[in-house]
Amino acid sequence: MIGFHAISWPFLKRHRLRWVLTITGVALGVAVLVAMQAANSTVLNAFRRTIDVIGGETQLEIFGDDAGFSEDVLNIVESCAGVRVAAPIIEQTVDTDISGQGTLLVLGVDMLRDGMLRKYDFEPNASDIEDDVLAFLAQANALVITQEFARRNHLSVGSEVRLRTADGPKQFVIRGILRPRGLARAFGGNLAIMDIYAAQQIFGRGHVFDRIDLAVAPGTNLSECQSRLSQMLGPAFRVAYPVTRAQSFEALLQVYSRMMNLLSVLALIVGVFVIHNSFSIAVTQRRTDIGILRAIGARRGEIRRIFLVEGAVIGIAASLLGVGGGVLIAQASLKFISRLVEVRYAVSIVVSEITVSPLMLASAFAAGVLVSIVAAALPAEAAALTHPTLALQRGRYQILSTRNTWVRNACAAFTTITALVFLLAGSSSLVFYLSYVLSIFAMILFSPGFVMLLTRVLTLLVRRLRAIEIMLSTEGLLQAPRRTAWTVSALMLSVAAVVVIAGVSNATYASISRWLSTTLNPDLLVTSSPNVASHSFLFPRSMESELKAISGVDDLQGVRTIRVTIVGAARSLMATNLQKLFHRTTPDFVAGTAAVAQKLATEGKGVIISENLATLQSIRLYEPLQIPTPTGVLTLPVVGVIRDFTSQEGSILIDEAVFQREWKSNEVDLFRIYLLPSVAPNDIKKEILRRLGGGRPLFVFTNKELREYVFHVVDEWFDLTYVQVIIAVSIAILGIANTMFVSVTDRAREFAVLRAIGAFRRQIKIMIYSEAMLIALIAVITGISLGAVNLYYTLELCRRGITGLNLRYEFPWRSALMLIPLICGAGFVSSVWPARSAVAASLGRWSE
Amino acid sequence: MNRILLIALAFGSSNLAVGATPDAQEIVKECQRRMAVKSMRCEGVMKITNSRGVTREKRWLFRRMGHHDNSKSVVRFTEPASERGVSVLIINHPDRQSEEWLWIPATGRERRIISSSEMNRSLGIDFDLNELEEHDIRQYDYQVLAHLDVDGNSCWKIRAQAKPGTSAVASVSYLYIRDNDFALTKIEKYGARELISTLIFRDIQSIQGVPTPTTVDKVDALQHSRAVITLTNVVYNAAMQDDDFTLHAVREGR
Repeated sequence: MIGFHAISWPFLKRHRLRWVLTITGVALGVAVLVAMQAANSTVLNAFRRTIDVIGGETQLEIFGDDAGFSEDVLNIVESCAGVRVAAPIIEQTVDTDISGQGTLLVLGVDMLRDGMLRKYDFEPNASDIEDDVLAFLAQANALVITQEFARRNHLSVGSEVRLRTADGPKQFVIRGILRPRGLARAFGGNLAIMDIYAAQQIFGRGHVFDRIDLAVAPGTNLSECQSRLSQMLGPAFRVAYPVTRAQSFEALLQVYSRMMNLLSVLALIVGVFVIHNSFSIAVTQRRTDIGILRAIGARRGEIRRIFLVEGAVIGIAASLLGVGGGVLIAQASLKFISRLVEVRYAVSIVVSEITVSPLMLASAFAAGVLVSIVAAALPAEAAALTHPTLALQRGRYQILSTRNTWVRNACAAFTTITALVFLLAGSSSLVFYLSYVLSIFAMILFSPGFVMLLTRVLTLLVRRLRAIEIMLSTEGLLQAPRRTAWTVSALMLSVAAVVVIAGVSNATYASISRWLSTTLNPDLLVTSSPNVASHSFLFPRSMESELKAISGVDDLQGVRTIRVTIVGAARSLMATNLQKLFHRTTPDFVAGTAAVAQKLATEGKGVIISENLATLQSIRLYEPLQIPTPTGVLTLPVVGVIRDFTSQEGSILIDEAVFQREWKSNEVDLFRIYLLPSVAPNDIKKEILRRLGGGRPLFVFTNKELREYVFHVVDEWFDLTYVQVIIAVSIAILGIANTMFVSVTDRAREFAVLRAIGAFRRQIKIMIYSEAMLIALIAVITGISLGAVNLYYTLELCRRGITGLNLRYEFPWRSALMLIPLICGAGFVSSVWPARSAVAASLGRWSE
Repeated sequence: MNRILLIALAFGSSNLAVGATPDAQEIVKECQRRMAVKSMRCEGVMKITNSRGVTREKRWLFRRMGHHDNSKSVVRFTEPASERGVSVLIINHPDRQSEEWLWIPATGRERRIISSSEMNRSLGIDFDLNELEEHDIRQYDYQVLAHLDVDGNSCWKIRAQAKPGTSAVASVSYLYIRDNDFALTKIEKYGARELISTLIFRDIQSIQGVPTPTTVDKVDALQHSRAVITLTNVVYNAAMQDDDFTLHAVREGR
């Protein structure tokens, strides 16, 4: 501690601003990490809690496909030995007409049975449902809401509330208010209960249930009961423990979570470079102190400890700030993430407050402290190894050791070669990931060399311009490569991340755009939900002729989408008239020949699957696929693999004749409509809504609206990633500011001499501005280069392990070129303050 | 509903000699025999006061054909207005579980009710109908405990102990049966230790020769609630059709 007091504390006090910038950099990294972790875990916990509280005493849940299943299933379930109570449920997310209240999850329950599974804790004196269920059942518009929702909207028993139903907005009467415990805590209080049969009628759900929750009689073996039910109901039904729903959702969120976590780690890594840079400079600047300490007998370990303690202190301060800031950022981003999850996955989650585990906060805190210590370790080691005589010599500190450079470049070359060998030779994912990591390391190791090389090139260029201030700046950079290298590395990583995200985004947009043009190309799309991802309402087949009768409609295809469990997870199975579909579309086949695949699939002799399903599950062409149906397991070979973006988990395309035969159902949930060339889509849309809109949920999208909707979903997906990358770039920019403050301090004598021989303040400022912009420019050039390599790896990584989609490599030239003025501009802004402080100091102080 | 009325109304005249050493099971059997009728029709009013002191009232029309385990009944609610038309159809089978259906006009849907607790909740009454039914003599061992005076009536106090293996909820019940006309006047039901509920049959009138309690009063000791049912316009053995006791008839409001 004596060393800390003697060396660290005075130095920290003297360079307050620089340490504030360093702490801010690391704090931002920790904050992003905490925010993303907290937001993810909050969304997941909210979903888990919703399942728990909605489930009540439910021991098993029975599901069919998205459109629900016949009411008769309830009789079968009730006849199963060991079932104590079985309660059917339908779930409907409904828009309220109340401004700012969003959606309400309406649970349609059979109150008579449900009371045996779930606790309905009504507000005293605010309901008579507990004593008299009949009063509730007898009125189709009776609604029970939560106390939270009632409070927010000033509702009480007897009040009316408007909900959007299949027949348009309708008034509902509040008949009961649930106290904020148990069921009422689900969905952030945006939950309403109504009679299941009334809900079926009002939301146009026919005579189907979405789910049956059940509890078994005491003494019944749960897994035996599950097996019995599975056997009785057949493969088209899933009999699962309630917890599996949360697990499925977790798996669904995995892609999103992985992406967010990777970017969070990036922000932290950039923070490491910033702190490493600060310590490298700090060690260099305190060489005299170190020399004196070593001369009076301080051991290497003690010197090392001084800097490690400094790293820990900085880490603790930054982590404390980061954890607090992260929680605030998470709170602010919750609404956005909830909406993203709802739009992308058709899962409604309302979260009003974040749930963070102390363990997660402690881990983030520890990560912040650890990376700070790790970042300080190398400079600490350098300080410890400094010989007292060398340390006390003036002018030696900025010289980069030739031996160090040689070793670093040799390591970089070796790492590059290893990365290339792994990339070319290795087929396993592990070897590929190693190659990816090594390529990044290689770039980091090369960065000081790049800085020198590029600075020299830039020096030659500016000499031609005869700009003396810029020439002096490049000289400054050449004299202090250690000061610059880590700042460049930090910014290089951030710029590379921007390039990667832009590249992935471009590739995604291009692929989706191609897919929309070739496959999702009808003029109009008629669906039963405002969210195309939901398929909970079915249209009768007879609607086909009604639609066809509308003047201007040239052709149409009914599509039925259900979720089936294939290769261990729920996938989208789409059934339509394939002959008609292939007549109108030209799917992008990535395996199998289009003609053969279309012929076999149309004849019902095979299925066509999406590329992501084939890649992620390693399904080969002509491999038999087992598909559970209500009539047994259907085994059909995969006759083609197409590029398809319908489902993250993968999709299967089969002919509607096969579906009707195996699923005994000919209803559809979507119509693809092609119009005659001379017709305006919006006119037909209005006509469809006029003729068929009443009495059922019906939404019509024009192709333009559909494209906008799809791209909107993609936009929302990338928005969050950009926010994280912007934070990473900001941290790196803080690094530049930090470096420039150091530069100003280090070059004080030089500035003093320049001022003494007649240099203007403006010229000093230009020197500092140009140095910052040169650092930014070098970082952008190296970052773009690294980004170009990383983009290849990332697209391959996405294909192999995350999305299963083979996105085409297209370098994002526009984004990359835009980064040059943007980052240089940011570099300029970051140098304004250091430049001002440089010219504000007196000549006397400079020459000290 | 038919089960309440079955118990409440099915106890009739006795062919047992008063004064002889009575056999408890024979007394209960005679109770049931005297209340056996071909059909019954009446109007009912029920006032329920819950533990918070809130009282609500419901009115209905009741029809029953047959008796005990071989009967069909329909309860059609007439008040309150919001529940008008709601009907309950119960078909009791001697050899299998009864079928019970609830018809809700507002949704145009009927739903099957599978347990007595569902039935109680749906009717909005806190009579535990299932327990009453369990006073089927096959499920209990009976024993005459005393011969005493209850509200001026000379009654047998009979202990009904649920037989092992039966589905009876209450382990012990005490029945009070008048010795002059074998009319049931009171039932006390006990759980493991505590009193669950008390049913008191009042205003017993002889209607068409059948001793008919026109007021049934139940105090629920657990829920701290009270229900009073009053029957009017009671008619026995009127002509009724099987077709009137179907889901189709219920839907049509017959």
